[in-house]
Amino acid sequence: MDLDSDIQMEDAVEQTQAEQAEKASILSQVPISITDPTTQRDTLDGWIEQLSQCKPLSENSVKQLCAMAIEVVKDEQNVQPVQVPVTICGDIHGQFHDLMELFKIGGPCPDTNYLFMGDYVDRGYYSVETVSYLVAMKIRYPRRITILRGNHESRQITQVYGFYDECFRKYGSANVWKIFTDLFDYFPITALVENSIFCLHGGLSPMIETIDQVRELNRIQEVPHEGPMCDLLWSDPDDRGGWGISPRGAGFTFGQDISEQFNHTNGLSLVARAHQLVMEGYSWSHQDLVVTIFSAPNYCYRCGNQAAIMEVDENHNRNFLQYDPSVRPGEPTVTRKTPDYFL
Amino acid sequence: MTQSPKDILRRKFKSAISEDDMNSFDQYDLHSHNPKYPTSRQNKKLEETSQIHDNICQKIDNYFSLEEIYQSPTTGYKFQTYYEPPVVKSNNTSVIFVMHHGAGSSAATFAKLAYSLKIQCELRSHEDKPGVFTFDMRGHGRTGLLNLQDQGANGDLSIDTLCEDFRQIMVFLDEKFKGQNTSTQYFLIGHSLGGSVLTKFTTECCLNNDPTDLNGNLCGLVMIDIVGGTAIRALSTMDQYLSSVPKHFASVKQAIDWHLASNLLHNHQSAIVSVPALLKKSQYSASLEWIVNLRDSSIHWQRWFKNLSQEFVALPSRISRLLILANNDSLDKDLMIGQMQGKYQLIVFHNSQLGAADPFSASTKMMNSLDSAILGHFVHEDIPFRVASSLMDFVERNSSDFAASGPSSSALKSQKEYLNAMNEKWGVASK
Repeated sequence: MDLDSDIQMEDAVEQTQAEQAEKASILSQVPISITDPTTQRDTLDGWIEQLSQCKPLSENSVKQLCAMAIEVVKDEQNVQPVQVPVTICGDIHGQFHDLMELFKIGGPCPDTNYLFMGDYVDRGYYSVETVSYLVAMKIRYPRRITILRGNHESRQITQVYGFYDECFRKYGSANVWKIFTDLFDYFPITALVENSIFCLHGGLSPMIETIDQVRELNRIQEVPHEGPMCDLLWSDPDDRGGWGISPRGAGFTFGQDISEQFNHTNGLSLVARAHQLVMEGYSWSHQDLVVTIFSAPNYCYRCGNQAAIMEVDENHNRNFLQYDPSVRPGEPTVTRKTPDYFL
Repeated sequence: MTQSPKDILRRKFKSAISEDDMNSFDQYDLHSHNPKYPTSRQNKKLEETSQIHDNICQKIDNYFSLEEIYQSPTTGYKFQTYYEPPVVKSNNTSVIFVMHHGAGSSAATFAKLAYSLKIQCELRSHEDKPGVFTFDMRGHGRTGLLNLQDQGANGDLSIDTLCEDFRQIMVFLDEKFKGQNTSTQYFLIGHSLGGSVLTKFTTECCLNNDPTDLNGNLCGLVMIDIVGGTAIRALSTMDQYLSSVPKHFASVKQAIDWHLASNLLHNHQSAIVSVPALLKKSQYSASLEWIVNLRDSSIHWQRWFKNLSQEFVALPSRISRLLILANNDSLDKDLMIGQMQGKYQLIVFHNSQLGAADPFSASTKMMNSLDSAILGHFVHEDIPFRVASSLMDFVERNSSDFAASGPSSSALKSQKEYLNAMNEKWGVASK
C-alpha cells in the first residue's frame, strides 16, 4: 500500500463496492460455521459484540477471524504509514478490562484512531479475548487501527509466559495458539506517523541506520533470536551512550547519542516505543527524543503502576492520558501457587 | 577404527559416565576434535566402573579434579571445596563459575551441571573452558562431617554468617589466580538459599568497595529457582513439608527412590550423585540419616529471603544478572517490575507440552536424554544440559572477553568486539 493512496476511510460501513466485494471474497475463502457451538454468531460484528463482553470465540471462529486478519495485515508495510490524529498505546498483556478502560479514556474506535505497539498477550488472564478483540477490530476498521508486533507475539515467548497455557485451558488444545502465532508473523513491526514519529515495540538496532533499511527486512517469520528484526522488538534506551549489551538477553541498549543520530538521519521528531514498564505509564528519555508508553495498569495485577496512552492531534500536539486499573467486581483474585519446597 | 563420541567422552572425563549419558551425545558431531584413541582396556575398565555406579550411586569426586579443605583463619571452621580449573588458551581471561547450593542440599547438586558445562564447551568447540568451583556450605555435606565436633558452628546458618563464609572462600579461591598473567571473571551461581547468599554478597561488594578487591572481577550473578517474596510466603508450609520427610533410610537406594517418588528430583542420573551426599550413617542403627536437620535452622528462615528481590534488581548494571525459574514465573512485585524494565534476564523452563523451547532461540531444541522430561525446584539436576546451555549463552553474551570461538561464529569473536565495531560504525564512543 502506497502512502499517498492510503486515503482514510470514514468507517468501514462506507466501503466502496469493490472493497465490499473483496471482503466478501475473503469471507468466502473460509468455511463459516452456521452452528457455532459457543456463539451462534457468524458475523464480524457478532464476534466483536461477543468479545467486548470478554467472552472468547469458538475455535472455528478464531480460525476464520485469523484467516481474514492475514488478508488485512499481510499487505501492510514493515513501516506502516499512519496519519494524525492517532492515539498511541503500549503493552496490554491480556488485561482485557483495562483495554476496555483504555477505549473509554481514549474514545471508542473508530471515532478515535489507534496505534498499538505490541504485547497483547501473556501474563494477564485474558490474552485470548484481548488479542481476539484487537484483531477483530483491525479487520472491521483496517485504516482506523494499527496493530504492531511485540516481542511477546512469538511462539517461543508465549509458551513460557501464559498465552499458550491460556489457549490450552480455554480450548482444550493448542490449536488456537497455533492459529494466532501463525497470524503474528504477518503483523507489521513498525509504524511511521506522518513521517515524524517512528513507532515500534522495543527500540533501535545497530544494524538499522535508516528507516528504509527496515523496509527491506523480511518480517514474515518467527521473531528471530538476533539481528535487526529481533532488536526492533527487544532493545531499550539507556542512560549510557553508544550501543550496549541488553541485560534482557536479547536486543541492545542504545544511548542518547544513538537516538540523536537516528532521528536526525531520518528526519524524525520522536521515537515512540513500549516494552518497558514505567510507573507513570509514560516516560521521556534522551531529552525528549524517545518516549516509552506502557498501557497495562497495575501490571500483572501486582506492580502498582499507572498506564498511559499518547494522543497526537492534527497539529502534531501530544497529550498523555493516564489511567488506573479498571474496577471490576468478580475479578478472580490473584492466586499464586505456593511451592512445597524452596530452600 | 571409527571413533565414536562415546569413546571420546569416556576418555576425556574420568567420571563414570552412564550409558544413558553416552547415548545422549550420539547425535552430536564431536569429530572436530582429535584426541588419542582410548585403549580397549581403559574402555573396559570405565564400563565396569560405570555399571557399578549406575546401580548404586556416584561420588562427586568423579566430577571435580581438585578437592581441597579450606580452613577459615578466623574461626578454624573447615570447608570442603571442589574445583575444576579453567582452560585458558586463546585469550588472557579465565571465566570461573562459583556455585553455592541451597539449604538442605550439598555441592553434589552441581555435579551434573559441571559435567554438562564441559560437554557444552565441547559442542561449541570452545578452546577456552570456564572453571567450576563449589563447596559444601556450613553444616552441609562433607563440610558438616568435617566439623561434627562443633555442632554449634554447624548450626549457625544465619544469612550474615553464610555471607561471611562465602567471602572468605572467595578470597581463598582468588588466591589461586594471584601472580598469573590472566585476569579472572567470576560468574556466581546460587540455587535457592545460595542465590540469596550470593545476591547479598554481591550487594555488599558493590556497596563497600570490598577490600578483597573481588569487586572488579565479579561479572555475573545467576539465581536458580528462588523468588524472595514467594519463598517467604511458602515458609508457612515448611513445617508440614518437613513432617512428611522420612528421618531414616535403610539404604542409599531407598533414599534415591524416595527423592524421585516424592517429586523432589526427577533425574535419576543426577540423583545417584546428589542424594548420597546428603546422608550419613546413623549413630544408633544401621540406617542412614540426614547430615542436616532443616528444622534446626528455622529461626533463620525469615531473614534468608528478606529484601532479596529488591537487592537483586538494584545491583549496578555492570553485574549481569540471570534468573532461572522452574515451571512458572511466579515473580514477586520487585522482580516483576525489574524484569519488565529489562534489568535482568529471565529464563523459565517448563514442563511444556511442546518440549524444550528456548525462550530466546528461534528453534525448538530437542530434549537431551541427559535431561529429564519433568523438572522442578532442582532444575539444574533435572535438566543439567539445558541449564548448562543457558549458562554458556549467558557467559558468551556478558563476559567482555570470552570468545565465541566456535566454527559457526563470524570473524568477530566476542560481544565486546562486536559492540566496538558497531559503535565505531555509528561514530560513537563505546560504553
